[in-house]
Amino acid sequence: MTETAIGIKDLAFGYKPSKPVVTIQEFSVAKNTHTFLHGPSGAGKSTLLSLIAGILTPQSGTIEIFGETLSQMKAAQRDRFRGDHMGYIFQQFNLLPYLSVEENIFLPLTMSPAKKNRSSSPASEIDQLLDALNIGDLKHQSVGSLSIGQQQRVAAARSFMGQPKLIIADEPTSSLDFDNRKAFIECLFEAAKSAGATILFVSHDHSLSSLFDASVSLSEINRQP
Amino acid sequence: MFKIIYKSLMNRWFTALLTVLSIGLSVSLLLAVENMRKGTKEGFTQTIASTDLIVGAKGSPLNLLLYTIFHMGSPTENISWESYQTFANGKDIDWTIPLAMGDSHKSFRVIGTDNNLFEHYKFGRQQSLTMKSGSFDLSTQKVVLGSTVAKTLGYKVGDEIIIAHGTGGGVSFHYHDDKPFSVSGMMAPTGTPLDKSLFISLESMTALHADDDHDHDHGGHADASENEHDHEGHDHGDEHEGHEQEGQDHGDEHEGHDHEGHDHGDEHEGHDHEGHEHDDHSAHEDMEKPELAAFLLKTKSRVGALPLQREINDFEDEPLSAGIPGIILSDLWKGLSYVESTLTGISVLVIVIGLLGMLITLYNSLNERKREIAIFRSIGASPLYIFTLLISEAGILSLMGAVTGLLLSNGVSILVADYLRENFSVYLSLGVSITDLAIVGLTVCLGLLLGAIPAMRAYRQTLQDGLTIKI
Ligand SMILES: Nc1ncnc2c1ncn2[C@@H]1O[C@H](COP(=O)(O)OP(=O)(O)O)[C@@H](O)[C@H]1O
Ligand SMILES: [Mg+2]
Repeated sequence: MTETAIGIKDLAFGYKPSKPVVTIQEFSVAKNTHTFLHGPSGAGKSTLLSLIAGILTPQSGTIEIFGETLSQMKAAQRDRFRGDHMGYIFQQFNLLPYLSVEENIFLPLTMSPAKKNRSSSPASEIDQLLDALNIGDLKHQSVGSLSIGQQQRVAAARSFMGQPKLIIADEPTSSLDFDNRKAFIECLFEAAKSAGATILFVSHDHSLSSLFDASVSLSEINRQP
Repeated sequence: MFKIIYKSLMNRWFTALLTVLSIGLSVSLLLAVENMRKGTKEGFTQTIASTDLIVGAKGSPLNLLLYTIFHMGSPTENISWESYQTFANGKDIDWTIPLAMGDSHKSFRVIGTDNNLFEHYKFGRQQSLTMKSGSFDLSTQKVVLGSTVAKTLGYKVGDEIIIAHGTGGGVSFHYHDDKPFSVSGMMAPTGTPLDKSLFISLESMTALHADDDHDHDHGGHADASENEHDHEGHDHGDEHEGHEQEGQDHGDEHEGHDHEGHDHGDEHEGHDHEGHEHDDHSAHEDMEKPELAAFLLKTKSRVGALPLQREINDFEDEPLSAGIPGIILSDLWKGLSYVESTLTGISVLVIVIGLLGMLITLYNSLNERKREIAIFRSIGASPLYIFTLLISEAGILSLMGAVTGLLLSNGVSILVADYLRENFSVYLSLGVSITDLAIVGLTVCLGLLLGAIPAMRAYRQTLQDGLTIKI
């Protein structure tokens, strides 16, 4: 695996330019790998993910995703790029409570024509994902009746919908108990394998690092000048 | 996207419903006020419809109109029957309606006129007079009642009533009590001052005053002396409930009769100052015509009205003046326009308050909806999409509110239209007018404008905060 999914060079970002939060000289994630990024709370993990997702723009430096440089894109292009090529899982509250499980999973296709095109048969794709994530029986349930673990799996299913090449997960297991964490990550890998997706997984919990191909400490790469 | 907005709103249906209702109520208030305003104006300015000119003695046409139509103010000079005939028989004249005044019944005015009134008088939206019961029969000793008169005094067709000379306000009353009139008909409500009038023929009015003189020559003594002992002596059996109403005028009356007591011989002098000349005591039959307070006329060709107005104003035999009722009434209405603008201003403020309520609701919901916004951003939604999402919501809420208001005000209008028209001559327009649509449009625009505030805030937040959901 030599191709890079994410390549970061000389990155500097602060919510206020005078106060940098993320300063990374070099960081890369290889394609089709599962990378674990850990760091204490407040280290700037979520901020880095927002930069990679193209929602925040760095003050300096470049971020390349699958060979495309985000900083060269206009804001609208970055939004589209994210919609077309990425899936995102939050720590919690991933789902819209007024939509059903199925509608929530289907949501990315309504936003991205590229994802919609890739998904030749959305109905069977949803079924496959639900199977892979072990939640086949939840399809028609309302979001409000799901446990947090189930919600996170539905969120994972949604992130894979439309076959994006990069899945970004921001502490998706932090609100789960230990057994559930492991099971969740295994399901995530299972789904990633069949989709051929790269996973960047963020957590403050070191104990999970052994499950991943690579493990990076944000504190090590994030050096304040 | 609209499916998402719809579902998102339905998820918060209760607040959404309250918001829509509050906007709806405030919009319907403005619509109702506007409708009332226009309807009142229409009813007022169309008190006399399809009449080209109102003609009376020289003076302000406004005074003439107030006195003859609205029963307000003091009488101007009368005009002679001859002058009336001159114009009534003019070649371009479609019809004329003579109006004689000076008598009253229990504080309602008695108008001497002819059948032309019933035939040609139009009010409001070119409505003709109609009878509720009986017929518009103005033959001798017959009286037709306006609807308010009939309702207030509880008369039926066939009842006999007594008509008094004078119209109150310091003028001496004189009861034509030996000449009862029988009610021949009662008119349907018009919402105009006609409702508060009684109608007798010009001939009856003349005869009344002619007979007056006769009466006083012979029976006036008894009447007067009776009055000295008994203030209510003139109240005869058929004037059942008149006591309190007439009681206040007894003092005046007393004086009046005292006066008459001294000058029986030249009784007509006493009438002179009230504008009735009875030169010939024996000729109190139908030949004598009373003087008119005014007359209404319509020309055959509308264009003839203006030259005719000039002609009347320059009439040499008698000083006359003519005015166009529609214009006089509009001018009068303009004097009251500050009331209108105040009302409209208040209702516009109510709408703004209703929309501010929506703004507060939307603004408050922003915090709860941060996660919703982050989810949309994560799947590729642009900040513009978020902005559109929120502002559409404001637009939909205000549109639904405005439409609710439209339905509400129309529903209420349909319910009360007849009542308001008959009792207050307020002509509510039913259905959707251009103004209604403009108000709905402006409400939605204002809603979008105010909705832009929370939408803008969400737009900025989503640019600054990245995907962190802080709850
Ligand atoms: N929207 C924001 N505006 C200003 N500062 C922020 C914002 N979000 C995060 N921060 C700051 O940036 C730093 C990194 O936060 P974050 O990336 O959320 O850390 P982590 O995800 O590793 O817990 C923290 O010091 C935090 O206070
Ligand atoms: Mg975080």
